[in-house]
Amino acid sequence: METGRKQSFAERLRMAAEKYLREAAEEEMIKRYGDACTRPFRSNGVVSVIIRRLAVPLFLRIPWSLRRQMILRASYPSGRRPDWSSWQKGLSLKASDQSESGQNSGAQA
Amino acid sequence: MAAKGLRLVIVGGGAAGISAASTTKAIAPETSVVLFSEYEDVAYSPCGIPFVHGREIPNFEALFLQSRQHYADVGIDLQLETRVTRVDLRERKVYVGSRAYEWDRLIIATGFDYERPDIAGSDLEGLHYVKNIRRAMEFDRLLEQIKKVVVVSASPLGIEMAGNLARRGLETHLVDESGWLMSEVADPDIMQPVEESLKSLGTKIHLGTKVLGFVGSNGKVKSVKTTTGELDCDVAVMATHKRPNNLLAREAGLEIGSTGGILVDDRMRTRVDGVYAAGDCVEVIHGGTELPVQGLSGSHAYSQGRVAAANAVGEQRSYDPVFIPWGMVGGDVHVGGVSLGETLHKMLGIPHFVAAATGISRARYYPGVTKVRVKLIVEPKTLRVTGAQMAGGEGIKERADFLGFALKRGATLEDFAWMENVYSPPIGALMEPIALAAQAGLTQVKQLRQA
Ligand SMILES: Cc1cc2nc3c(=O)[nH]c(=O)nc-3n(C[C@H](O)[C@H](O)[C@H](O)COP(=O)(O)OP(=O)(O)OC[C@H]3O[C@@H](n4cnc5c(N)ncnc54)[C@H](O)[C@@H]3O)c2cc1C
Repeated sequence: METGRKQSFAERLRMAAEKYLREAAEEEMIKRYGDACTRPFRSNGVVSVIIRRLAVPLFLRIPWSLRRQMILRASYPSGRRPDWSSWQKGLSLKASDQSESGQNSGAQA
Repeated sequence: MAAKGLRLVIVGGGAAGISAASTTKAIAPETSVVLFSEYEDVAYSPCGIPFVHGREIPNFEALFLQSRQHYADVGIDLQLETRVTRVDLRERKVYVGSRAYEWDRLIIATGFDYERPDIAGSDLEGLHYVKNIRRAMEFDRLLEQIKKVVVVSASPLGIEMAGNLARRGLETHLVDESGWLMSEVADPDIMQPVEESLKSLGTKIHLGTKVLGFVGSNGKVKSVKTTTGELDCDVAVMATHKRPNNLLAREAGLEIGSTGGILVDDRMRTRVDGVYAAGDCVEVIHGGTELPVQGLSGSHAYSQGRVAAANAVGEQRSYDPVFIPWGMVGGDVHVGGVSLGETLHKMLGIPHFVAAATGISRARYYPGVTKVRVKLIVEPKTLRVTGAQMAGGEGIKERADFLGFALKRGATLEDFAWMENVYSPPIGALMEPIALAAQAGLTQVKQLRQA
């Protein structure tokens, strides 16, 4: 179980992966939609450059189905993913209860 | 059904917390409900705040949906301006300082916090984070006395604030590191009309520009230092990334996922018996990819709060994985979408191609007609549509809701190309823009297959 204030390895990994994969995707989008884009700011530390040049292209070469499995595995280091299968089993029970409908709960959205 | 005398404690008075409290009272009125919030108020719409600043909505009072008395009348014990300092999962108590409150069921709905940049001057007075309505009221009075604002980050909130402050006549600068507006979720071609619209309102946009620090005088911010120069300002609006507020849960020992959100199942249950969580502090599952996602919208938080409450009092409800229909107005342009856009498909490396078309929102001769650009992102083998983005002058929200529903049911390019649609000159054109995009996609497929 996760305790303490510090971010877990899985959280830090996801943040870093998102940052560099997003950058790579942005570069592709700039190639495609150049007129709608400005050159983004990029930090140029050694680690950043290595990740951009090596890790990202290698990662993106892995077929999506396998890559998806890798992301899932990294998302749940304990190996225990909460159960979200009701909808696939057709078991999800929608919020259709009459006792709630028409009730103004005053939510903040 | 809930056992008689069940004690429910809710931490958080945002969309998730307040919907959980109201749902509990609707389903199981005999449940004792205590709700804690750090803020002075509940049941207001924070989403309306930027539009009050922009004078589109006359006053903050209009944003309140229910009075405190309403909650007292239905038997909800609101403990406002009260910060829960600790949750003890074994003793089944929450603590406010040394005072303990016992619970049989607990719902954590502590929401989000804005990312606070760790740069020089970030503790200066005049850096405003838009969330609490009382602070927004004070900020609005301050806006009467000032001239220049820098909005940090072209997030959805940053764009709403920049547009509204410019509309109000303030010199407004919008600063962001990336190459286009809202690059975390939206595609550049979709956001280009928003950029143009904001500029036409007078907003000065600084993309590809990193904020390096805030410069102050007498403890107050007076300029923002960036990689492309220094921008003078009287205040800075911090529309930075939303992060799950998981502090209480993490310290209590609840499991936190890779997104930083509390891990819950589709009943909004944490792994600890009797403890639920909902809203921006949790992570849920994305319906298209089955990957965990976090930090969605007020409408997601609201539904999750209802599901958590129903299960907490003994019903059996589940919350489906999300396809995230979204929409907003940037300047005078409506943008929206569903699931992942083209950028996010590229980011994850999901095989896809793009089918796009520009249609119109009403009959071409009807006053007020606007262009509607629709972009469908398609899985090449099955032709299943896996995402969409749109921009136009009207009708974007309804299309996003419809697409969200259709994608959840696995709709393909064929389905959309041959869809039925409403044609009525004042509200809809003969050719539905979504169908046009799908037809363009099918033509592409045919050409590719012939080649
Ligand atoms: C300016 C603004 C504009 C928005 N615009 C939109 C929009 O256009 N569309 C949309 O769908 N959504 C919008 N949202 C909603 C937003 O993006 C979130 O999705 C939504 O607020 C999440 O609700 P929540 O209940 O999970 O958390 P929050 O709204 O973050 O509420 C968290 C609650 O927890 C309380 N809390 C936290 N810690 C403690 C503690 N230790 N003790 C006691 N209380 C605690 C806080 O006081 C607060 O009441 C907007 C929000 C803001 C602020």
